[in-house]
Amino acid sequence: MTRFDCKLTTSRLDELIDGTLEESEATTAIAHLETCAGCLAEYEAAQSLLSATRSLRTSIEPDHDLWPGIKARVEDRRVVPGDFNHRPAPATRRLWMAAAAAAILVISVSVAYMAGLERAQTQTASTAPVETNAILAAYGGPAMDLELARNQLRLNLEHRRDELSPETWSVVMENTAVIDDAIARIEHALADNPNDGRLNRQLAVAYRRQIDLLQRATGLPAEA
Amino acid sequence: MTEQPVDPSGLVSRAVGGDVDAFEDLYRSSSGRVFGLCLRMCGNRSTAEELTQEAFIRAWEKLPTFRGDSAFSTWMHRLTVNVVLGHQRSQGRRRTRESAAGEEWYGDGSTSARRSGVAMDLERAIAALPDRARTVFVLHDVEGYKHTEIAQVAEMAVGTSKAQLSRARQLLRKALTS
Repeated sequence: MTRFDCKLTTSRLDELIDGTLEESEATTAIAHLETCAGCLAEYEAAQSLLSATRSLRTSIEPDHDLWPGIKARVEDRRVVPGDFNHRPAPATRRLWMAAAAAAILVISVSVAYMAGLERAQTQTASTAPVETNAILAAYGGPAMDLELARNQLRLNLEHRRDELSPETWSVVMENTAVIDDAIARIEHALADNPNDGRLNRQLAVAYRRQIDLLQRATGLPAEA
Repeated sequence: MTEQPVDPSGLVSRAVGGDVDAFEDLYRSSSGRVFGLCLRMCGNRSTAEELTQEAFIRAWEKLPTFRGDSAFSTWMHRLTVNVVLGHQRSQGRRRTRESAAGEEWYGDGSTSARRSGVAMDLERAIAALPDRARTVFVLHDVEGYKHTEIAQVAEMAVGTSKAQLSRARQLLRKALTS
């Protein structure tokens, strides 16, 4: 067999495995496998992979029961109140942009401070009070709950993507990404020192900033 | 597709009428299947949990459109695929944060997800695949979709689906033999 035959066989290997190769081509390919150890090894490896894949379980249970969260949302779909039926006044949008920028600034300062003084015991400026409301009151506990609230808001915001302008969407995504990075850095620091109260407060503040940002974005009137 | 012994049509009817308990039964009967699908498609346990919740919220909202011409599990499966694909499209550039997914497949190790041997190696290798290759591989080789169906739900050409499957299989063979 020639090198061309090897290339032909390997390029059609998936179709041969799946049984979708035309009969004449399949016959040729199988004949080649009988004489080419390299291609036969490839074929057997592909068969083995397919067999292993088909033996995987289709049902996998999550680490914890997700029903309580689903039930809460089913029973009260309106996590964030807001009038989505009219366009925002320009001043409103500018105000929101400024608020979002302010949130980013605080987080950025917080993270920069933390990175530079990771072991310091002094109070940081980022522990200033954040706006509270119903959702924060409901999820004002541990970081896990804040993360859940944040994730719910992200999904709610995703539902409204088509209602927001690409520009607004871009701003929201960029800002949430910045806070995501802040959270990741804080969590990284916490991995080395999980009982550090200051870092835990920083994490809670970061989540709350992001929740505030997402809530503002979710509450924006429809633009599209 | 195997489901626990429930009466889907009766439960759906009750759930459409606002019976949350009936919807919980539907959730209990299909949550493992839905979570498994989400987990394999996104390769990340925490994201899979979010998407599982989202899929059931969507299901609750769309139950009135369920006509019963397929099993609830089949309808739920399709809906879940759409939720995951929609999430992947919306994430776009943010996906890089999740791309180191292989390690996150394990979760906290407190469940049956922590398994040994070839199956676990394969699960990790699947989780580490590039997004599109993983999506096509899971839908085709695990879930049994045809390329034409993948092309439709994933908004790609049939040829692209075939190419991504080939790429995924090659990457997996390489990962499992290295």
